[in-house]
Amino acid sequence: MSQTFDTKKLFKRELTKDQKINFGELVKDTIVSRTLAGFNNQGSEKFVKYSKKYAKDKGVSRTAVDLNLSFNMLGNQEVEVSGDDVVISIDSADAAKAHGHQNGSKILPQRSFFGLSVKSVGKIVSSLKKDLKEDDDANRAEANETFKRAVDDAESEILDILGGL
Amino acid sequence: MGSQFRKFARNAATSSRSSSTTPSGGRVTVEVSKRLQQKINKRVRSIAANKGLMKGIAKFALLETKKYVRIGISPKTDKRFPPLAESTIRTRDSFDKKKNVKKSPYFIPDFSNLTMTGQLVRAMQMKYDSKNFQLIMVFKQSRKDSELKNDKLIEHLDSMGRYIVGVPKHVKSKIIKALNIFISRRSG
Repeated sequence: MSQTFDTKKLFKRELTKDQKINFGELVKDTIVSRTLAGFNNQGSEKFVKYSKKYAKDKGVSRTAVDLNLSFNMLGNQEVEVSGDDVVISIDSADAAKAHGHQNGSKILPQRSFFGLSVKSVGKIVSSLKKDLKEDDDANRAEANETFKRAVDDAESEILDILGGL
Repeated sequence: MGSQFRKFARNAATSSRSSSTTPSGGRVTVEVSKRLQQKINKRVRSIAANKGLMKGIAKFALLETKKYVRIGISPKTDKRFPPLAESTIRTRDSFDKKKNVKKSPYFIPDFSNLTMTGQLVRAMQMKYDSKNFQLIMVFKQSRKDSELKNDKLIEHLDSMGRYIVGVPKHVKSKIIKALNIFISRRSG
């Protein structure tokens, strides 16, 4: 199970590999925290309640649905970078379980937890864009400072030479 | 300052050299040979260093050119400005006697150095084109004492053989020498 994000399209610029990984990690964290809060992948609906038996066995109320017992399934999401794409997937060992929750099965109600809605992706993108802009501004200021220093150095050097002639 | 400057200016003007430099309009080319330009581009490389280099040269050229004009030598011809007519000296004398007028410290009534209030020489600016190694002399246009613009005044002065637009020959040679030293330092 995987979801692919075209970062060039989303950010309208090239990202570095680290920036892409950072984006992927944020997507992963958003899925985990939203799932632990009991909301589905649209972020608007709570998951279907646990069965009475499962809730009793787990020792929680039926409404405390977080798809988390050992944290294996949620914790085994992987971030991969391929060109402009960032792919979030669930490790093959937990893929079957995840697929069962995501799509429902004979013995499991559908609890679509994986993936992000367009709105959630937009939120992550705009928050990252803000960070990128701050980084860009800082880099630009540093580059300007370096440029200015080089200009000043060359200027005082030539004035020094001219003064000595 | 007045009498000291008067003595210094007269001596300097008498010992000026002549040359055949002929810069035109407001664009003053410092004769940097193609070879030197290539050397600069090859050795200096960075745009910032080039900019700093030209900024320093422009600053130096402006300062030296202003000095030259104030001691009565044309930066274009490297010769003394033509002497003042008797009527002009009379006008300048009466200007000198005025109490409530701000005069330039370099103003001498009977000395031709294009200076009375000092506005024209102060208006002189040296810009630069670091890509083409060119200095561009420009003048701030407005004057406090009249509606006459400095460009018109310069045109009038040109017609009288008092050329102000240019860089003195010795300044140009210093610039070339300095550029060579700069390049060799950067190559080191």
